[in-house]
Amino acid sequence: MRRTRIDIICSILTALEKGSMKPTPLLSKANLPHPLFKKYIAELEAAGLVNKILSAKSTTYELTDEGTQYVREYHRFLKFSAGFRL
Amino acid sequence: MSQLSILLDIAIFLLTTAITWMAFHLYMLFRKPRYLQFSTGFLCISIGYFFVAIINVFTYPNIHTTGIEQLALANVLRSLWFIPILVGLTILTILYYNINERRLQLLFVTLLIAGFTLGGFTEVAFFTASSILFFFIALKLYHHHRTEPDQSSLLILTGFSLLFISKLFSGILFIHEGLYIGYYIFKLAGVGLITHSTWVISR
Repeated sequence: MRRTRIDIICSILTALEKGSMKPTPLLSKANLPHPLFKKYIAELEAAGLVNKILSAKSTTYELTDEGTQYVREYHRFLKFSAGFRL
Repeated sequence: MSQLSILLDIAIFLLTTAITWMAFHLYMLFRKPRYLQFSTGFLCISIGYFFVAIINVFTYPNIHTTGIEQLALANVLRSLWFIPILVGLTILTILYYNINERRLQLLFVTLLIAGFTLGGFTEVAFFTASSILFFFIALKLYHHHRTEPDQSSLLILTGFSLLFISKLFSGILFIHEGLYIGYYIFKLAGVGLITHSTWVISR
């Protein structure tokens, strides 16, 4: 089934739930091609859900407090969907 | 016993309001149209139970003891909760059976309204229509649960089934007063299970 925009956003955010990640493992975990990943990660940064951490060696991404809250709501959404069969 | 009934109706009003709020909140976050439909259905049921609670608490005891004018008023008051509850259950049935064709949805609603209007807004018409809708919702939840078993859906399915059984009891209360006990036990257990599951989900 084709994933919606929200599904893609949530796949990126839940991938970051256990800690910061570099772009390549993150896009692989979110199962996204590179151009789409760039588009969505920029959106998430702009929305304040993800932080981009630049260092001399690499770039990593991590969840902000808002991002963590959003992921928590996403888990609630999944539980609600499972419980009420939506 | 009637006080227990009023308390249970208030509990159902609070429960359906909480479910409405939660579904709408999740719709605003994740924009899934089914959540909007679901919250609309529960909002209607919640409005219905709000009227049930208000009518039972403030007016119903007086209406039973008075004349024809009050009985006419009772009919008007009844339609205040009959209609929203039936509309809510219809929306949920349309949602659970994935009836996406607009004309079919319209046919469904028209048949319900026609049947109910011709039935004269009686308790029997309401009992029959709501029991049928309730049964079909519970049946669909059962089929969903069989294909993908899950603990929370099992609890909600059981809760809906118990409410359906309590509804059946309410239809045969005239046979024997003792049946009231079964009616309250099933209703209490159904409301309790759905409340518990909703609380677990919302944590």
